[in-house]
Amino acid sequence: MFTFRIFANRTSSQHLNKALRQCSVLKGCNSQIRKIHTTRQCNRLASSKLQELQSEFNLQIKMEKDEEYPFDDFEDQVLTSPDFFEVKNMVTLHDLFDARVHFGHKSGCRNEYMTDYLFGSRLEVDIFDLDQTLPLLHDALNFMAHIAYRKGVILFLSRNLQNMHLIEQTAKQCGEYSHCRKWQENLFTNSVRHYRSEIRIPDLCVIFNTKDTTVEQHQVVSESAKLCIPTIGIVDSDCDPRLITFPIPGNDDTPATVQLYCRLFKQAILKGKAARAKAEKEKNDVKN
Amino acid sequence: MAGSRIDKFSNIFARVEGMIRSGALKYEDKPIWFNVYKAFPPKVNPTYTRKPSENQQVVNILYPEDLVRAKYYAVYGSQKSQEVVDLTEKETPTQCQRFVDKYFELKKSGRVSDDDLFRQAASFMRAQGFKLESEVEKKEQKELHNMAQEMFPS
Repeated sequence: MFTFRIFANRTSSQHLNKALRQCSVLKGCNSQIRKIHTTRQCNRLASSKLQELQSEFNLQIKMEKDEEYPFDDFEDQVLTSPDFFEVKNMVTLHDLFDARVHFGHKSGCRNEYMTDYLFGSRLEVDIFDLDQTLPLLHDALNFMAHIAYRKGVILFLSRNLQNMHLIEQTAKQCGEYSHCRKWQENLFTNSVRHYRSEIRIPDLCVIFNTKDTTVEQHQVVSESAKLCIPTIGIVDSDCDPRLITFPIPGNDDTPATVQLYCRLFKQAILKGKAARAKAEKEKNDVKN
Repeated sequence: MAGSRIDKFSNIFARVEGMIRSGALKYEDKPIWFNVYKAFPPKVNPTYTRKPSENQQVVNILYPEDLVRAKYYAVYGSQKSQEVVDLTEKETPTQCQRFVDKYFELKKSGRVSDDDLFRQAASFMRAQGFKLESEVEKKEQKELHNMAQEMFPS
C-alpha cells in the first residue's frame, strides 16, 4: 500500500494537483491518501478533489478528522466527566455573599470590561453579580484541580501586603509555590538571566490581585500570556480581565474574601492531587 | 517553549494549537494544560483585542429603607460611644438596622405619617434601652458642659 501525505492548507489545490499527477503515474496501485491539518474551508475543497481522485483511480481514501487529537492518556480520561473533582459542591452563592465577594470598588475607577459582571452600583460602590461569579469560580477551580491532577506547577501571586502571609502559607500547605514580593521585570520572559540557569516556569498562575500598584497591572499577567501560561485571576471592578484566562470577578481586598479564595484553591489542588495518587495506585495494581 | 511572544493578538490556546498544526511543536510536547483548556474552555475568549460591551449602563441600587437609614444618620449620627460594629459578627443587627426594622414594622400596622413613624420608632428604641441622642441634643449638651466648665473651673 502506498501512502500519500497531503498537506492541504492554503495551497491545498496545488498539492492536490501534484498528488493527482503522481496518482496518474501510479495508476492501478492501491493508494491511501492521508489528509492532515486542514482548515475548514480547505477541507471542503480538498474533499471534492479527493472525490475526483477516488472515482478516477479507485483509491482507498482514509480521511482523518480535523482538530481531533486522541484522548488516550489516563490523564485525559477524567476530562470526559463535566465535574470530576466535584468543585460545584465546594462553594455556594451564600458563601460568596457571606465572604463579601460582591463588593467592588468605587464606580469612578470601574474598568469598562468589568461592566458585564456587575449587578449594579449601590451608593457609588459597584456590586458584582454573584450569579455570574459563581460559575466562573467553578470553572477556575475545575481547571486548577485538573492542572494539579496532571502534576502541574502552580504559582500563587499577590501584591497585597495584608494578605501576603496567608497566601504564602496556603501555597506551602498544598505543596505549591508563591511569589508575593515585588515582581522584577521579565522574571518569566528573561528567567535565565534572573536565575542564572534554566528554570522550570509554572504551568498555572493564580493571581489574587491583578494590580501591582493602584493603577498598574501586575506584570505577570502579560508575561504569562506571552509564555502561554494560563492564568486564574481574581478581578475586581477596577481590573482588566482581558488577558486573564479564567477571570473570577469579585472583591480582592477584604481579608475574609481572600480567606475564602485560599480555602477553595487549596481544597481544589488537594483534591486534584488526591485523585492523581489514587489513579496511579490503581494503575500500578493493575500492572501487578 | 518555542512560539511567538506576541500576547495581544490571540489567546494562548490558539497560539499553541497553531504551533501544533504547523508542526513547530510536536503534539506529544504540548503543554499540560492544553487538553484541559480544550475540554473546558473559558466562557469569554481571553483576547486583548476584544471590544468592551456596548451597554455600559449600570443600574443604581437603592432600597426604600435607605431613606430611613439616611434620615437616621442625619438626625442621630453614628452613636460611636454606644456601638462598636464587629464585622465578623453576622447575627447581631446594628442599632440603625433595629431602628429601620421597627420603623417598617410600625408602618405595616397602621397609617401614620413618616415623621410620626420616625418618632415612634425612636421612642421604642429608647424604651428598649438604646441611647439615642440627636445631633442637636448632643451639641446643646456640649455647650452646657463647656459653660459649666467656664463658670466653675475645677
